[in-house]
Amino acid sequence: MTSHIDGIQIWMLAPELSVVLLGFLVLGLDLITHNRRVVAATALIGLLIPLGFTLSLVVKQDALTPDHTAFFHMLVVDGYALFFQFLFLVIGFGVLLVSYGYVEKFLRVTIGEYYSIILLSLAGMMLMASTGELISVYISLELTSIPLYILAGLSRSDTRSAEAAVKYVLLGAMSSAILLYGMALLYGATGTTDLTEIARNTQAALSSGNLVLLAADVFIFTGFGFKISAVPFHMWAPDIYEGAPTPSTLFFSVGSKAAGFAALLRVFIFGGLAAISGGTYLWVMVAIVAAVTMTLGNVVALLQTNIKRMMAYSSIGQAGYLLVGFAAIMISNSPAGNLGILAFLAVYVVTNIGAFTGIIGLADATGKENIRDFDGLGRRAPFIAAGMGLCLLSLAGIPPMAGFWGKLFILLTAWNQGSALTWLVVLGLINSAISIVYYANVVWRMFVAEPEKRDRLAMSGSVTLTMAVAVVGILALTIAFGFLLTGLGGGAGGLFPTATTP
Amino acid sequence: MITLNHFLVLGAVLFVIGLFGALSKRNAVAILMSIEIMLNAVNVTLVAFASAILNHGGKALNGATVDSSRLTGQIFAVFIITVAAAEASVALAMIIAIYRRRNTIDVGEINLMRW
Repeated sequence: MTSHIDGIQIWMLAPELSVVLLGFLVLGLDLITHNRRVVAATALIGLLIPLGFTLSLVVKQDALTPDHTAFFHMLVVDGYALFFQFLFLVIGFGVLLVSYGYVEKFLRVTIGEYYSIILLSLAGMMLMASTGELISVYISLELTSIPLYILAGLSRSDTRSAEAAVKYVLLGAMSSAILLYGMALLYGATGTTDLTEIARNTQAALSSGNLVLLAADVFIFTGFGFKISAVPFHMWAPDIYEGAPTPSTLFFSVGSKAAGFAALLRVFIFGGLAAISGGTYLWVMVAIVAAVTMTLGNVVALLQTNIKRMMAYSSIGQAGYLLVGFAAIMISNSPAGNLGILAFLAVYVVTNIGAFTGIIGLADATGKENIRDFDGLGRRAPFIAAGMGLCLLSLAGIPPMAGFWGKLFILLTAWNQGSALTWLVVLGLINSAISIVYYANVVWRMFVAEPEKRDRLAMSGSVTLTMAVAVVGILALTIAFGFLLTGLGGGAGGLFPTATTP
Repeated sequence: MITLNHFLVLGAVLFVIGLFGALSKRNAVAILMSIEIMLNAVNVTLVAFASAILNHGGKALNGATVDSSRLTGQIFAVFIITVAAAEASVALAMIIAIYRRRNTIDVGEINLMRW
């Protein structure tokens, strides 16, 4: 560990730094010029700078500090962190692009304000994947969350939006407090907040079966459980997804969830907490949470009439599948489970952006967001409906689509852990069958049901462009899923330094 | 003699009081105050651990030894106080926004959306 800060360390932080600076630039530009197109173009083209820094870090991995850490272990830029940085930049690009028309029409804020809030939150998300220290995990979590609270309440003309924001900020602050109590116990038990040292110290305490460590694990899992909307900490998700402006909902459903999983895996695997769970049966808790999460999410989604609420329960169900992979990690401390989660998240992000683009498109054109408003969308806006249908089928896990491979791979990983998780895999398959009903219902309405009006809907350019990008992305992921797994292999396994060095 | 255990019990009791308040209060500002109690319980726990580790020559609960000159626990507490202030300001802004629209901050009545 170097004792001073040099250029290489600044370079390792450059993707996040440039996103923050871009956020300020967009906000400032909004004051000077009132041209919305200029501001939006600056934000979208500006995102290429952090992307370039991330790619340069990927290519030049050997030129980094030897253990890939910077700023006294505060920052860890390994393959895992770089994967998530790339994923979050994709999310940022998608959300910025698709919200262009919506912000002008429905929100009383300027485009620069909206974009800068999203960019600041994005920087927090990128940091959540690449922190190696409990204090910086907490700071980046709050850097992510506080802009998200504001995004939920931005629609000032809608009472539901204010209600969503109040619920989100109170439950979010409470979950942070629970997470912090777990971190405090972990600090007391191991004497440090550095995840590498925690991994070393927990290994030393493994034989004594320290109860404080176990309590810390439970509190930390609970705190992150709120962020990834796992049952029984999911109550906030449907209300906030419904009440928030739709582009913000998209950002919560992909960004907040991916960031929650990124930090959860970082703390549990890199911090060595998963390594001690096999003997303590902590995995039983995770497996039960996974089972309840996917069952409740998928069953309650069947009953919804509002499309955003349905997508909220659908995203709870998807979190359940991801937790199956996490249970597989907890039981055996195996990189295969981590690989499954990363691949599933990549597919989930692209498909969910596509599905929400369809919802935003309809809301843009008609202001409606009920499931029955999708009747006959296939004739009123063929391209948007086709793209959205493709994404919904992928979310349901219909065979040739990428979503199917992601789900298959995660369930196979759990299956390979032996008989302990067999019941969870069977439950996952049953849930997958249930989920086809409500996803296919929307597709059926779009292409078979008779619409009330037959007029063509004019879709804005930003919505059409986002949908085109999402469709290309989902097709590419479907064809090249095998390559995705190979490419992610290093990043997923690299998070397990503790397995080799006791 | 006040030992580490006394501080830890104080922290745990404060945390439970805060959690109970956050879950049972109906006034949004009272919920926010309960959350602040939870955060301060965390601060008490952190500072107690930090001072105990310092007094035992860098020995943590599980017997691992760390550099005893570090003040990680206290620094963590300072960060929590700072971020909690930012969070509280956003939360109060949201509560004012809902009060203007609904004329109430009773979370039992803020229920346009359910199931």
